[in-house]
Amino acid sequence: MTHVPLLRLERFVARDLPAPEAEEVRAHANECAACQRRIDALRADDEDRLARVPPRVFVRRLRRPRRAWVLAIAVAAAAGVVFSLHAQPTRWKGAGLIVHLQRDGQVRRLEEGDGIRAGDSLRVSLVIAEPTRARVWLADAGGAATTLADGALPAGEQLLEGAVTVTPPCRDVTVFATTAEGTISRRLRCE
Amino acid sequence: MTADEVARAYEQFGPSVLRRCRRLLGERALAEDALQEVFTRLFRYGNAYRAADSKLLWLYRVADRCCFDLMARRRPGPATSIDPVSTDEAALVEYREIAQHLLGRFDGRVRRAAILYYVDEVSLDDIAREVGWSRKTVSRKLELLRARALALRGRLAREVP
Repeated sequence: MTHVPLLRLERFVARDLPAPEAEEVRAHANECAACQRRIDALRADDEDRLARVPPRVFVRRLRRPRRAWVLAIAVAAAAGVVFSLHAQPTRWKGAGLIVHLQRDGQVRRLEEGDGIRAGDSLRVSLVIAEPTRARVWLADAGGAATTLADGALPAGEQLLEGAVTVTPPCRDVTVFATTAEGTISRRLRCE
Repeated sequence: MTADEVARAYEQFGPSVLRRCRRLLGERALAEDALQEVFTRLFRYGNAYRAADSKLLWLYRVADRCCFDLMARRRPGPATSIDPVSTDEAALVEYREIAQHLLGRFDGRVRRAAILYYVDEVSLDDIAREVGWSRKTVSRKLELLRARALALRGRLAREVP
């Protein structure tokens, strides 16, 4: 008996097959214990994944493009002023930005001006002395922006959700954090 | 696309796309990164997704690109936790490891054919239709890939007919 290829089983389980093809797979699985076992395993994996990371949680973690910020930063980049906005890396009392880089399984902390490459994964923490509203975002020299946090944050060191992967082509990146007290930043250059 | 639409797409297809990324990348953490990248792109390319006949195949194509981007910058090393779906697939692990290390060196159509064959288990006839080559050409290209794989990784048990 020829078994159903994995791709077709995946489409069947995801309800992505046209009805006649889905019916063929269903009929085959009724006669084929091996394929039925694989279907069951895929469905169990689906349920497990969605229980661990429900859709709303998953979507909250995504680096959703903020059109207004993208436009504003693109315009600023075009004017050549973006990277002159952050001459003082730390300006708030008791506050700071911490950026960790993961590369080839190794994690290290980045300082101002440290190098990054495409494929690197970045995690950002914000340290604040008092609870405050903060917006933390990351902008690259191409004008793309990613918001990491936008709202009330408690005091202390806050590891922000979501790793940011540096995608090719690698560009210089600056991480900004803004509160009512002003803006601090950490610039990272492309190696 | 709106956040609700992306959430619905993830609910229906996310686990399958994650499995795809794990099969290609072999590492859970990297696969999670790729999954996030795939669904982030939905915000930007929602119209193309909506227009696709097969939403899952559209997401798989995006996932393949994301995975190869990540793979291209990963230090070569032994693949781990490839997660075969069933035990009789254990023999495929070797092929998947080879795919991970070699496919980045081939052009898009060879890569697509190899993924369809070694990862998706699609027949040569169906691959030929999908990539627009004859069955013989698909077979020849996969043989070339296999020969290079043999040179690097040793024996393959499954012959390309």
